[in-house]
Amino acid sequence: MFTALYFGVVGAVLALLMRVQLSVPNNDFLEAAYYNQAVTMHGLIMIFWFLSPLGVALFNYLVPLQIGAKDLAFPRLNALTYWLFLAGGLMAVLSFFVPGGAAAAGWTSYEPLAGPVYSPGPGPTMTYLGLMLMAASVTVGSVNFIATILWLRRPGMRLSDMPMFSWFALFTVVAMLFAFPSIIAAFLLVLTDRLIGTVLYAPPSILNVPGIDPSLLWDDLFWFFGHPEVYIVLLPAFGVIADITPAFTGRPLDGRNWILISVAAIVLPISFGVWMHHMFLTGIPNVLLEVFDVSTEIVSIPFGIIVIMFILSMVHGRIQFKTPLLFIVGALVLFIIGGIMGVFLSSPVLDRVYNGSYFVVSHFHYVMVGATIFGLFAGIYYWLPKMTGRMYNESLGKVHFIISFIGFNVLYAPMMLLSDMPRRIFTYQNIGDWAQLNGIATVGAFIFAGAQIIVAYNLLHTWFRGPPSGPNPWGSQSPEWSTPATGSVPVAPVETEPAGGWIGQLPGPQSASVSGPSPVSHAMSAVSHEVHLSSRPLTLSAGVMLFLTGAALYPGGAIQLSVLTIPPGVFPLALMVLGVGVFAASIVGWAWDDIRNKFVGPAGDPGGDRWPYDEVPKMKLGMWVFLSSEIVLFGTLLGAYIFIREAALEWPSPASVHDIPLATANTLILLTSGFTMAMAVYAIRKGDQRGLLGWLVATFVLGSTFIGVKISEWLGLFSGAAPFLPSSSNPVTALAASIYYVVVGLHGAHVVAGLVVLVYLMKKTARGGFTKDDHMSIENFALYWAFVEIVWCFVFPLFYLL
Amino acid sequence: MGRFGASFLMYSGVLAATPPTVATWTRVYDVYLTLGVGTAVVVISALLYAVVRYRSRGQKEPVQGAKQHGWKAVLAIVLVMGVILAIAGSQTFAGFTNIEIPNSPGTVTVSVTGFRWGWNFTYPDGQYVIGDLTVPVNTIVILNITSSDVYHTFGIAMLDVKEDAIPGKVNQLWFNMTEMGNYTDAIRCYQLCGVGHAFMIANLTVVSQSQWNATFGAQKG
Amino acid sequence: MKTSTIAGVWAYMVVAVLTETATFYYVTNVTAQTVVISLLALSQATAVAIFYMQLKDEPGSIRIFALVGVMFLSALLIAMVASLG
Repeated sequence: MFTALYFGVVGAVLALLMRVQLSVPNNDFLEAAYYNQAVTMHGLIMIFWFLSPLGVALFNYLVPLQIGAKDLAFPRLNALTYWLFLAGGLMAVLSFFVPGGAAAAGWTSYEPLAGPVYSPGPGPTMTYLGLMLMAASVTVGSVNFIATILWLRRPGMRLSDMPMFSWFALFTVVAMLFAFPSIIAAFLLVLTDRLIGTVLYAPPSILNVPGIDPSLLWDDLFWFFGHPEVYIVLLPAFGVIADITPAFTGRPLDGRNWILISVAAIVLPISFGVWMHHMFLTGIPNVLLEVFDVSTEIVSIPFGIIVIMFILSMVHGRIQFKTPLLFIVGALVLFIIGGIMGVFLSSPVLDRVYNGSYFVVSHFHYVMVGATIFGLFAGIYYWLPKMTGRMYNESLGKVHFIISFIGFNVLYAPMMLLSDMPRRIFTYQNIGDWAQLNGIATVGAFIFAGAQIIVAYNLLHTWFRGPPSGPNPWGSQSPEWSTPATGSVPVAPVETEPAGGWIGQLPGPQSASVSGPSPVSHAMSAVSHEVHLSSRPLTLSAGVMLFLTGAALYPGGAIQLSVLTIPPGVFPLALMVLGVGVFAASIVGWAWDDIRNKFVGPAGDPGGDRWPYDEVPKMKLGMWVFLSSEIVLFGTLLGAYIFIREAALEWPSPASVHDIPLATANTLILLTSGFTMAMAVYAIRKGDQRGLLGWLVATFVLGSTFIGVKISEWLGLFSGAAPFLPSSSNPVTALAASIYYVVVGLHGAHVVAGLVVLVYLMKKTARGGFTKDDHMSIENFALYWAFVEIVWCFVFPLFYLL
Repeated sequence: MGRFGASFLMYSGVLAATPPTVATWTRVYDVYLTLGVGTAVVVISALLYAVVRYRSRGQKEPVQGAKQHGWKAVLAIVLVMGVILAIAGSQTFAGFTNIEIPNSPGTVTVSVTGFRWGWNFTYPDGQYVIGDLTVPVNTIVILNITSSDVYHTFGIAMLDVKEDAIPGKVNQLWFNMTEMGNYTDAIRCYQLCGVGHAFMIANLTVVSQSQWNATFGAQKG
Repeated sequence: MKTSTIAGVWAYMVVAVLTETATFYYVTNVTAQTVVISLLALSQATAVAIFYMQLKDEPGSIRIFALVGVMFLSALLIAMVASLG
């Protein structure tokens, strides 16, 4: 949470810089290049490293408390989530100081502007790599939360009994699970373009293939993620509102089930069916304009139900005007305004004016800053006594609300009127009322920012000096208040980090505070920390970060130290080698911990309410959740391939490139390894350990053979008479080679990862680590391996035959 | 109802007749604005009324037996919103004339290519001009818009028309300008395209049909 | 699951792949070729999902993860190809 707030400050400073630049016409406070970096990184940091994580941090703290879980389902994965998130954030922020600067193509990173031709240098590469780490972190985190909520509820806590905040957490992470794979796929293509020279989004000056349209490909992939993402940002705030409103109205929520049904409707089908309203000007066929106009209008109906139900929940109450309630009302007012602006934007006709203008900027700040931040502030004030055992200063809270609300509207209402001013211009001429409106907005920005100094003071003051709040200051019935407040005695702030979570597992200063100065509060805390301290997630993330930083910087320039000169490439290469080393050591260490059972998870099966997953083991549930995101990841990439194939007017015939009989034989090898893996499961289900080992070895041999054949096949493609390479002088060949190597390569990477896990499984089997009743890892690996096989069932015909 | 926007205000005074794209846009906009402001006022008032009306007068105890609304309330919300959205949506569908390219005789076509950072206008006779689009008055003008490098968006705010300029793809828009004149900086780029984005501006010049035909109208070979 | 089922699925996979390759060599009509190969690939994927991934024995609450993923993907694919115009 602190990390998210820190990134929030960074993002806010960038925003203020921009507002200063735009306060008067023809300003030269920020140069265009720096302005573009600021505008881009403001968007990326605020969305990915501030708003979303702030919501997720609250999930991490509250969901286990609310559903009565001791911790998340996979504590070490939770630590991994945090460290990957932090590593990604560090890379993004550090990219400002790297040659090329931070990414400057807008948070939307439209291609080909974000590609290597128009955004050269290691800086943007580093930003996007940081983004990938963040996306990986989100995927791991979603798997964890879904498994936790579905599987770790305390006995008697049926799904329908869950507090609203946990419900919204569930919906948010489900949306994350399905949305993030497509951005991983989209940025994977950007990064291969930037790092290994593929030409998937190359502009016509580099790659002139008739029919190919890199921008449209990017739009589809990005916005398929991008629209669900805005609901991902918003839903935690609505969860806060739904959860805590009754504490201030003195009556239960009205229409609780209808609210949940509405959110389900938003998350599961509708949010994934509106993305093309971001593409109304791209020249897509009119029928799509009509379809997505209607679908976008439809998404406002469930939101309407939610808002009306919130309002009805005030009726006949006895409303107490505490700070959280004020923020709830503020969030709803701003959401109503922003939401109605959204309906304007659903019209492809009106979009002819609004697209790319400050009207859009105003709209999404009303929903993403207004509704989201105000809602989350309500939650922070409300749960502060829970986290600290102390009460905040009510008057300061109210002042904070009033100034924020005024500042917010002074900031964003003028932008509503700037519907003809393009977004993201770093300066403008003194025409019409632009100067006045921009001037007002900048004043508003400083009022809004100034208000946040009040909350910073209030939070810190509460933490160290606030009066004791008692265990349940709001008289709430919600289960999280039934345990003693986390910090009823003075403790270091880190102690109150989310349950079992983000920082809680870090050895070092933080863990010292766990075991050291405050045993009392530790014993009282709802979560036990000491069972699973593992440094592996930290070192693993650090290794990945070092490697990727090295990759981004490679080859770089010469480095001149006082006496000796380091030639280009050496320093990044050293970083990469170091990164791989640390990463490998972490993985091996992690596996070794498991083989020796060093890691003691939450002991035994705690029991509890698991409907509808009573019969499903935790690990298998987690694996399936993960696989469903993998389905979208590979599916998106195959979709990109199909898109390119459909668009391209010509394409190299497979037989002219590939050795079809060899590929067929290799396919048979992989499919046979699927058979041997299924037999391995069969063997251990009967308790046959020797049989298990035999089948695992067979699978390993077949998998290795598959990879070996693949490598020799690729070497042939590299060195043939007409090399099949992204650098080929024939643009069609270059494009075909690019997508081929990315998709087949990613599949190969999955096979290799599988082989690594197989080594671990064989080792553990040899030590007798699996029995008839305890062989979940084997079952799960079989699922993974079968999934890899399924992917190949599509890759083979699509790339080798059709 | 009124409209906001600087360049519109700047030029609306000089336009004797409203261009058709602006008329259509404004008609759609008026409906959305009426419905939108109306809905916002009603809902926000209801919220504030509820909050103030049911404020605590010292009571701390929970209220017993507060009413729960069921499917009837939900159905009512869906129906009311459905009607509002249907009215709005039907206006949009009627306004698709702004998007569909008219297929009538007597139109002129100009090719527009966005580049970093400017606009290239290529006329039917093959000559091209950078930074200035000249069109005949009272004529349907069709623009074939593309880009030679990155993603741009071509927009004429005073005419309420805008379309993406995408490399490898040609998009079309149309307008019909009703008044001769020089409209400085009327054309802008609306998509971040690099450091020159803010200066990716062009002028719109509207001349008589005969003058345009004499200057640009000859069909190339 | 019986060994005969496991082996049967494997045998089907082998036959399907060989048929795909044969289709590639001997069916010259591009549309027919595409349809046959696509259907074979889909049937293979389904077979692996149902038997090797044991979806046939799993409750609906697990199947839904696979189904939702496939559903979103289909939406994306259809709209993406449609957006080409």
